[in-house]
Formats: sequence, structure tokens, C-alpha cells
Amino acid sequence: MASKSKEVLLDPLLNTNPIAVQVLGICSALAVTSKLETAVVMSIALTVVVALSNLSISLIRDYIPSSIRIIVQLTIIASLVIITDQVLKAFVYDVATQLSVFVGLIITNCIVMGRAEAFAMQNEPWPSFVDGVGNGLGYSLILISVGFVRELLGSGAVFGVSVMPLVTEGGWYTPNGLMVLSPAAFFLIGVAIWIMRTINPDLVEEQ
Amino acid sequence: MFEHYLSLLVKATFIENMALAFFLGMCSFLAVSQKVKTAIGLGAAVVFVLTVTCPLNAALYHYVLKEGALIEGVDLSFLNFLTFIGTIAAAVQVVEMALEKFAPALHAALGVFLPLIAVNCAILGASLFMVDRDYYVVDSLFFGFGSGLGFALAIAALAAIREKMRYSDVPPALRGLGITFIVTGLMAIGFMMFGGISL
Amino acid sequence: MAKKDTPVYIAGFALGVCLVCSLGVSSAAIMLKSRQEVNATVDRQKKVLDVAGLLLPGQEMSNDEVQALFDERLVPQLVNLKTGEPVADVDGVGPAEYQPMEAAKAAKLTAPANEAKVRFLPEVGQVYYLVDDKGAVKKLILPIEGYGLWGFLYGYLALEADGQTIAGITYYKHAETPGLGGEVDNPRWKGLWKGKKAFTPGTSEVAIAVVKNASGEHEVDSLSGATITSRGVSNMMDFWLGENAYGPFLAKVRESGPPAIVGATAPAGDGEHADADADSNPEPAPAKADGHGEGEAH
Repeated sequence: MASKSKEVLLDPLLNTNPIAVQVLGICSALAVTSKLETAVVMSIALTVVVALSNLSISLIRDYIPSSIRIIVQLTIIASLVIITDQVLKAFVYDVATQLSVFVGLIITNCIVMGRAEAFAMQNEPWPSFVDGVGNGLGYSLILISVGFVRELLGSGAVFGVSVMPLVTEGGWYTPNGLMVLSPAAFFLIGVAIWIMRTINPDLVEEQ
Repeated sequence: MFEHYLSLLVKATFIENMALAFFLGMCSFLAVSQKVKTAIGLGAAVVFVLTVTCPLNAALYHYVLKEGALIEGVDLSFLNFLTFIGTIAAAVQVVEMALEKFAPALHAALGVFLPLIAVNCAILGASLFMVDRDYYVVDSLFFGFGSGLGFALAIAALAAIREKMRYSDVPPALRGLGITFIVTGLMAIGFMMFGGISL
Repeated sequence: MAKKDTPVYIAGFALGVCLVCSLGVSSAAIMLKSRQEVNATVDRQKKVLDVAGLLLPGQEMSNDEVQALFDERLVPQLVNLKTGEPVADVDGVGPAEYQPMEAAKAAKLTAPANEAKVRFLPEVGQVYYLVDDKGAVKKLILPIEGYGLWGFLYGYLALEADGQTIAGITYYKHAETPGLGGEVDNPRWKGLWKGKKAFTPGTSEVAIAVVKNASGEHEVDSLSGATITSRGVSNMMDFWLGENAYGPFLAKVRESGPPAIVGATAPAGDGEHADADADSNPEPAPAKADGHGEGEAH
């Protein structure tokens, strides 16, 4: 059981990464990664939501009538997202205003829906919870690495603390303007997929 | 007044393109863009659903949820996510049933995409932007239609590029998903050019 | 299986899920509401303190400290934008609580056509006075907004008590391109504004502008690579300092210094006569005439 949990937890980080391999939940990945701080808060929020939604859906999975299955899942997820949004607004107001609509968009983040439908509906509560945490972490891995590269190269900083002093501030680093724009996130994820698939050729798509 | 709506429509379609400027609806944008024909089908379904749900949610927000709208001093706006997603899911269901009954041909074309759309972030995103930017009901009708059109254009364009790309020699590890990301990034840079056009 | 598919069961299940979810959501919303409201207020107050020059960069302050400093040094005031006269309250709502832009939006008070693309303009605007420990007004802080490249920029402009010299500018909400137009947040660029003169001396003509290779006391260097954002900031200055917005108020300030604080610390009743007084008061008349002249020139 322990090793199964470990597998369920670690698999989504590399082998079945929700963003890079399953193409799920990319929407928010792009808009909130220009700074590391927002990327981290978003990652935590999503991990909490996906873990709790998996847990609660798995708990009631035997009682859900199949005809209203999707809407029940959506209702539970939406409620969890509202609570998360309220908590963020109350405790990290600055970041919450920067995330603006993207916290709300966790509802339609395919990872949450996808895991609820594909895993939580068939599995016991504990593995479902672990699966949620694992997928949340897989998402966080990509989000935080993209955020790290974009903030470092785009603003010469990490968590808002200047690492490479900018030319405009009297330093030596000329920031890469492309990195702070959203398309940079696409390029970085594209490159991340390239690297992952070179390491693990099983994932290469057929022509 | 007409000018205001026209400008809203053009802005939503090109300048503030749902897919390429805000990166909403990316999951289906990347997954359903292998063939132009299916891409157009999904695009049409998005236009349809956005044009219905956006004004519907705007009406709900302005007449029920907004502070003081229903009862003086009661602010129900924290329920907006739940209400919007409910409206969207219900609207998609109703639209699907109506199409099946009254327009079977259209249903055959769009049917498979409709359930997908309930969880497309572009649909919920449009409703959230509507609140954020204070659009009223008529505004959001044009905004919804324009956003849908923008999404449809973008996905059709991406699908066309991907069809052509099948003949290109892409490194194996980059094939499929990887190169699609990079192409989308380039398209997004192209679309940034529309920024600053003032109407 | 059969039991699960009966309409009664489905309806009951749906109802149950809704009940549990709404209970959770509502209790979270109600429990956290007061905290969120404090956050929103403190956030706004911080921005005002920032433009007033009371917040040092990188300085961390607790919510209570921000509120205490704000209450000590800043006085919200209401000003009738047409006449430029201070007002004690609007329908009984005092300066601290009145939200001019919301009121304008609710009453659909459309702004005259303007380059800054401001849609609604209130009759009564809210400004802040920065006072020293003796109660003398040191700076005037005016909320401003306008369209840039991607959307609206919202911020504050601080003027010295002479109603002419700019003390600072800050934007707290905008969606400009990071690294280009987004540089409106750059402290170095904001520093360029300090000491610039807003109006052509002796008139009510707005002179401050954001231009390339700025020189002289009326020009601020534009942001490199962000022509449209820079133009937007310029348009915003034209509109908000012009005759339709704070122009008449600032003309009065330049003429006779900042008006006495009305409301809690001033004798009541001052504000009620403000409108009637304006026409019979000979002093502000030249300023108003200038303002109109400038409007026709457009």
C-alpha cells in the first residue's frame, strides 16, 4: 500500500505530468507565471483544491447518481474554489488581486475535473487524496519552474529580490523583454516537453 | 451607441483574443486543433455557447448577485463562480437537447464538442471578465459573441498550421504537443500587434 | 443501481449536495468578510500613503500601522468638481465613505468626450489632504484614471499645497505590457515627476505632458518602447487637471491656498452653501473663464 501511494504521488511529477504529458490545465499556467510569487500561490491553491475535491468526491462516489455526476462534481469543485478564493483574499490580499480571475478559473481547470472523473470516481478516499496531491505537485513543478525562469530572465529577480541587477537600475543585466510577456510561457513549456520527452522517449508521439 | 458595441465586438475578437491574448480555453485549443474541420466545429460551438451564457450570467449578476440588487445591503457576489458555472453547465445541456430535437444536422456537427465546452475556461473566463469590467447585459452579448469568434478564428488558424506541419521534419521529442506550444507562442506574439489599436 | 436512478433520489441528492456546499461557502464568506474589507481599505490607504511620500520602498507595515498613519496624516475631502468648492457630504455620506466613481456609475453620469476615455465622471470628487502635525495642508492627493494600451490605469497624483508643483504619481492597477508600459511602476520613472509644474504659470492651462527627450519644468520623459501608454498618461493629466475635473478646484488652490478642511474639524454648514456661493463669489471667476477658453480650443 505504501509503495502504491508513493507511485500515485510521484508518477504525475514526471511520467504522467498533467501539463506536459496530458495537456491539462495549461490556461492558468501561462498567465500567472511572470512572477514566482503568483506562480507559487496559484500552485498551492490548485493543489489544495484538487486534493480536497478528489477526497470529497471519492467519499460520496457510491451515492452519486450517474445522470447528474458532472454537475455534482462541478458544484463541489466550485464551492472549494470559492472558499480558496475567499481565504486568499483574506490572508494574501496583494497576491489575490494579482491572480484576479485566474483563481476562479481553477473551477474549469481540466486537471481538477479530469482527476475527479478519472480517478476519484473509481478509487478509495485515501489514494484519491494522494493522487490529487500528486497531480497538484506535478502542475506546481511546471508552473514554478516556468515562473522561476521568467522572473529570473525577465526581471533579473527571484521572489522579487534582485539577483542580477538591471541596467536600468545601474547594474549589468539587460532584461529579456520577451520573458515577461505571456508567449514566453508557451516557449518554455514547449522546451520543457522537449526535454522531458528526450529523457523519456516512451512519451514521443507517433507521426 | 452602435459604435460602442462595434468597438466592443472588434476588441473582443482581435485585440483581447480569448485564446491568444488571455490564453483561456487552452486545453481544448491544443487538443482539438489537429484538423481544420473539427477545429471549426469546436469554434462554432464556443461562439454559440458564449453568446448564450455571457448575457445570461450578466443578467444574473446585475439583477441577483450584485450588492443591493436583490435585497438592499445583501451582497451575494461571493456566489458568482457557483452561479456562473451552473448556468454554463445548464445552458450547454439545454442547447444540446434543443439542437438534437430541432436541428439534428447541427447537432451531429457540434454535438461531441458541447459537453467539452462546459469546462472550457474561455466560457467561464468571459463571464468573470464581464464582472471585472462591468459589462451590462447588452454589452456582454456583443462581448460574448466577439470572444467566441476570436477563439474560433484562432483555433482554425492553429489547426491549419498543424495540418501543414505534418510535412515538416520536427525533432521526434518535439513532435505533436511540443511544437504546438511553440507555434501557439509565435501566434500569440503575432496577435500582440493588435494591442494599441484604438477604436 | 435502480434505486440511484429514481427521480426522487436524484433530486434529493442534488438538494443535499447544494445544501452542504452552500453552507460551506456562505460560512467561509461570512467569517472572512471583515478581514477582507480591512485588507481592501488598507490596500487603498497604502497607495495613498505611497504617493504622499510616507511609505519608504521595501518598508513592511502592519495593517494597524498603516491605518494609524493614514488617520494621523491624511484627511479625505469632497470637492464639487464644477465649482471647485469643498463639500461637507453628499446626501449625508461623509468624505471618508463616499465613493465618487461608484456613485457616478450608478447614476450614469457620463463624462464629456475625452482622450483619456473616462466614461463616468462624478459631480463631487474625493481628494486627500496630507497634513503635518499642526494640521496645515502640505499636499493634495487626487485619484486619476484613464486608458493606456491594454486597459485602464488607476492611480493617484500628488500636488504640493500650491496646486501647481507635482509631488508624485503612482498607479495601483493597470494591465500594461510588463517591461514596457508596465514601467509606470518603476520608481525611477515616478521620480521624474517630482517638482514638475502642472499648469502654465498664471493660467489654468494644463501644461504637464509626457514626451520624448523631455526638457523644462512641464515635461516628463516618456517610457521607452511604450508610446501609447505614455500618451495615455498625458491624456489622463489633460483630463483630470482640466476644467471638467479637478481644474476649478486647483485654480482656487493656486489663487488662495488649499481651502480649510471641512467636515469633522470644521464648523458644519460650510459645505451646504458651497454651490450657492460659487456664483456670487467674484474670486474664482477668472479661473473659470480660463478653463472654458481652454475647453473651446480643443
